[in-house]
Amino acid sequence: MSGDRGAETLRSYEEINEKIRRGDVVVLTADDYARLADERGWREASREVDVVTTGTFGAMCSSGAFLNFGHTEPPMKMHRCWLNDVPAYKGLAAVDAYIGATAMSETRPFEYGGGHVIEDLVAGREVELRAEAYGTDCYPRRYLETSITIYDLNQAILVNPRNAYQRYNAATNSTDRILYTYMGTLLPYYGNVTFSGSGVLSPLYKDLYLETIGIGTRIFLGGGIGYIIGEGTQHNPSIGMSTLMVRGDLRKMNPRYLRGASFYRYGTTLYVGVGIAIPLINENVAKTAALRDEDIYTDILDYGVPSRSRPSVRRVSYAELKSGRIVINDRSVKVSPLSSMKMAMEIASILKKWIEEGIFYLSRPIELLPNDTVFKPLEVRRREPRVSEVMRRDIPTIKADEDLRSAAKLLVDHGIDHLPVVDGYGRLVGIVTSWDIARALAYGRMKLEDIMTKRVITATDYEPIHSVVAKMERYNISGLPVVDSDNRVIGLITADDISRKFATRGAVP
Amino acid sequence: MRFKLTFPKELADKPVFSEAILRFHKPFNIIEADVDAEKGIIVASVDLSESDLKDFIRFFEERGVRVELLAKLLEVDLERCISCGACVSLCPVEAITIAKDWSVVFDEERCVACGLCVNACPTHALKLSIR
Ligand code: SF4
Ligand code: SF4
Repeated sequence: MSGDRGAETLRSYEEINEKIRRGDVVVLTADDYARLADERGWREASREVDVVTTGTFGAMCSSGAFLNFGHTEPPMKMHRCWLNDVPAYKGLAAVDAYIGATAMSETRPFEYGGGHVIEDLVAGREVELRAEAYGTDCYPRRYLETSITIYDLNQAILVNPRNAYQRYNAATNSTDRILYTYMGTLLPYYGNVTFSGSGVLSPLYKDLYLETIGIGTRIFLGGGIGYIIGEGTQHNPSIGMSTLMVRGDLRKMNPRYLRGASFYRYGTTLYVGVGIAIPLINENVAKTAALRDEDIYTDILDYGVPSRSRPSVRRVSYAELKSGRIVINDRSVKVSPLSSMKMAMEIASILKKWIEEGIFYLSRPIELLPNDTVFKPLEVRRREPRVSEVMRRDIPTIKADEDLRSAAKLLVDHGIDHLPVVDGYGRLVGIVTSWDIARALAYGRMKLEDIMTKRVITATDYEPIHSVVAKMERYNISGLPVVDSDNRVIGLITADDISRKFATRGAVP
Repeated sequence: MRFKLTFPKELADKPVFSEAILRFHKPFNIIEADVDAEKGIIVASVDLSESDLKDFIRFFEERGVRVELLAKLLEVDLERCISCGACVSLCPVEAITIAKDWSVVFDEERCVACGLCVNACPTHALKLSIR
């Protein structure tokens, strides 16, 4: 299909726009079109329907706005600046700045951030502007504190480098603790599932091969009219994860469709409303626009695995996800959407109305988006020190049925504070520390089994040291047994060992 | 209405709650019960008239049980709520559900104030008035 991608065999943009002008264009929201196609077949449905409207309203972290403040008297080359205490990027000319959605307030981090600043600006609310400069001959001013509204700005342009993922993975959590992620709160032991994306209404999924979506496509953006300016970062069409870069005038947007948000213990972001009108120009488009929630699949990934390649727990359709419950390991689990389906439907309906009323015309893209790029990971080239370089290997272990006295003796003889407890095969079953023993003696308990910690946090020998340090901080512990893939104890790593090893470098990596 | 009872440990083996059920002849719906070495906590709901309510509180207080009324625990700011649904799967008692038109619906009466949804709400639309 690459040769004639974008071919206008069913109808042309001119024909559609002419119908909009005449007022007899036929527009359906993507869910209605999918229903119609299901009843009568996509071929017949696409004979009647000219345009299908889509919508999504989700957290889109790669969003932000370029602002131009205008010059003060005397003028200033702002070197650093803050809006409501949220730092904006100032690596630009004197009074240009970029406020990013995930930048967090320095006084109210995790609560208020760049996304909220954008919402406040769009809502016409006053925003505190603070700026610092080093002062130059041409820009003498060094400090500024004032308040601004969006009406004071010369330009306020939303430019989002990555929006509207074609589809996204769903998330769950296999571990025994609650995880707070950009996919929301994930309850332990597969306690819930969250997902993002609007499935049947998903803008990029409805034009799966990107035949009508490209540079210059006019779209609904944040309640106003915006444009696609290219493929988004991490654009990955080969696996159905295409993305968009978009731009639009913030001053014509509506705070209902641009909402500052924060994910607990993750950070701030911006909910962005994006809607795309897909002209049914050829059969490929007519066919993919008819895809139903039942036809759109994604993977549920286990966010309990702290890796960029998280394992898939299972594949699932958007129909199942939207049903509110899915089955994982024979158990029915509750599902939360993270993007608002209600707002997505509202956006698709507004766009439909705009077209029917002749407010919104379709634009043929100047250039289609690439359909062959891939998303590469970042390999860490600088060697990271690993547990195997720091851990002690010659450490004693003890069996659970031995007595306290032998445990105490082992600790003293080896000059250590942590003693792993193992079963007959050398597999880890617990850990005792000198503190546990002191406490046991104080309370007169004599059996190791009663005093050992059974849920042990462990390390592996190839794990980077910084990951072990993070575990020590999170669980407030000072030593971890190092285990192999069969959970057999092969060593011990302690905070002391780490600081001794890196003392000369001044800092723990 | 919903209430929270805190039993001191001396009352752990006394059937105070059962006595109350017999005395008031009302079905109690136990929402949450938690016992540790220090105290026992029961969160329950019951349908009581104004006058019965006074007796009810007195009944427990006379026996050394602390009573807290938990009227409307969850406060929802519908202006801020974007009906995303992030809170829905966290609620242990189905106080938050998604309607056919994808609106997120709150049944404040069912809420047991676990707090999970409050932190998880990306727009800070939820608040607990007690605890
Ligand atoms: S506080 Fe807990 S019980 Fe109450 S609505 Fe939220 S999740 Fe449900
Ligand atoms: S998480 Fe917050 S914004 Fe989302 S549906 Fe629940 S209350 Fe509304």
